[in-house]
Amino acid sequence: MIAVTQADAVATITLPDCRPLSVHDLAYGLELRDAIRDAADSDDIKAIVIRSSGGDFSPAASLAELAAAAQQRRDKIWSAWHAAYAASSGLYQNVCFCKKVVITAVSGQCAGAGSFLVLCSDLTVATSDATFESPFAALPEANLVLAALTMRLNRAKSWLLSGGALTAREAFDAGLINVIAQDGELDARALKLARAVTRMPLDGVAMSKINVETCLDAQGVGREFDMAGFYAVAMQRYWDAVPAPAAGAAR
Amino acid sequence: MKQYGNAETLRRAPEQVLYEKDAGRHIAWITLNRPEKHNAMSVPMRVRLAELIHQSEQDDEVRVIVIRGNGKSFCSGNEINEDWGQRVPGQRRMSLTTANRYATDMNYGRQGFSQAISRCSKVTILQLHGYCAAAAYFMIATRTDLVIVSADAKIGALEARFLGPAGAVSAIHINRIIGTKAARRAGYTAFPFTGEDAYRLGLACRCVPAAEIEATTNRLAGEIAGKPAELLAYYKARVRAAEGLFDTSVREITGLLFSHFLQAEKDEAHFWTNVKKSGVGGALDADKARVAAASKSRETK
Repeated sequence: MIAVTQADAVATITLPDCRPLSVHDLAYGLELRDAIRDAADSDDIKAIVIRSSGGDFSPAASLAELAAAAQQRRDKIWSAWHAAYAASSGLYQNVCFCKKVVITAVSGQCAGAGSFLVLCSDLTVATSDATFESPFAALPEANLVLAALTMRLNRAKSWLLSGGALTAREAFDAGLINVIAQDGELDARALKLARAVTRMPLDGVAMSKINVETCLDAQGVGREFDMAGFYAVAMQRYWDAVPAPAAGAAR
Repeated sequence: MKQYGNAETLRRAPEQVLYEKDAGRHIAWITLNRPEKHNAMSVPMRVRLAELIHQSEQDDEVRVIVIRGNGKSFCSGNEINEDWGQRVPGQRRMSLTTANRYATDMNYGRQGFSQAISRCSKVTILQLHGYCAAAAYFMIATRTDLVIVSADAKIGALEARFLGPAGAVSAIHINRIIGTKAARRAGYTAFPFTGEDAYRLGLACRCVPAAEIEATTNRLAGEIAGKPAELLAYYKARVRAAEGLFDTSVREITGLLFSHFLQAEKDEAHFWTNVKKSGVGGALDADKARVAAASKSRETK
């Protein structure tokens, strides 16, 4: 399901899209986690590109899907869900604190898990028609400290509370993404960024990432990840109160 | 992800880290079982320890995990004379990627065995007797929830004399547990502290004669495991949150970086070289001889 290719010190991880991550498919999350860990572990790799195989990078899950995910998560918050998505061994901390530079390449709709992968990655390239929806309504593990550091605090709060979607231009202006790619140039621009990273010596990449991790931790990113289980418990009260939607209802 | 170790250490890890469970009492035991080496932990042993912790976290029948060691000592630390695949032939030193992997995933980083213990969702108890040195001190004894110690134990950063940097000095959690003065004394001087010292400093919650440690640990584990699982999960959630707010998530990265570039001066102990030549025991003897010769030289002057 998830394909990995390697060339010239760049690993490219291609997934169909991020929607299974938004509904906390445990196997899918661990498969992507393993692909990232394997690439980061290799002395042959300096940069990792995460892209979708086409269409939307992260289509929004429906209300019914999110409600079902919350019910499935209920008894696993401190165990399997935590291990796959919130813990230091889980997906997002392996992206956020990856030992190599991670680049996300985003096209089309980017909601839920896709937006959180963008926050966790080092660099992001997006198509001009991309939209970025707040991840906090879908994901209790989403890291508000990381969002505040990336977009500035008040913008992050506004994104969380309004739940609105940012256009690519708004995301660029807010600091969420680095490059807006023209039509048909997304992969080329992501690879160009990756190639720029690979000019740095391997030890330089490793040391830079160690320093970035320390910088993020000094500002509370690790502590915010530690709180994810509590946010999941708090969110559960919301999903328990939501009337069961008709199957396939839109968000 | 690549599994480090050599054929021997990978093969022996399952028998060197044992796992037992009493489902009725809700207690699991993880036992280091390499008594001929004071339970020094190879890389695969550390990986297995972390895996067993994670396995116990997923097991509803386990509420308390007891960590202990067979033989004369609980654990003398990491096995430092192990070829675990760290050096590519022809390279002067391991790559920083490998060094970072070693620190982060095999030891004290987010995915290392020490944080697997400190972040564990089940109650952890250490049954500590004999030597508890180096990694066993700052990655297990100071990471478990409760420590039962025998009075004759010898605990501390005993490796600091030879290796450095004194990672135990700057470890946030150690300063929090035993206080800054005691942390610095242990880290800079390598003096061991006894079981009674450990109790007085606040590291251990019980100090008992060696003959009583197993029964005492068993009794305490049973008392705690007898509480409702949901209550223990709540307690541990509080502990994990407090550890997070205290910043246990911040790794002691400077130790890794300094170690990577550490070079001994001519008049200092070439401990690693001596270990390669004659093992840990031989290196210790060589260091004693070096110190004695230096002392004699000073007296002559």
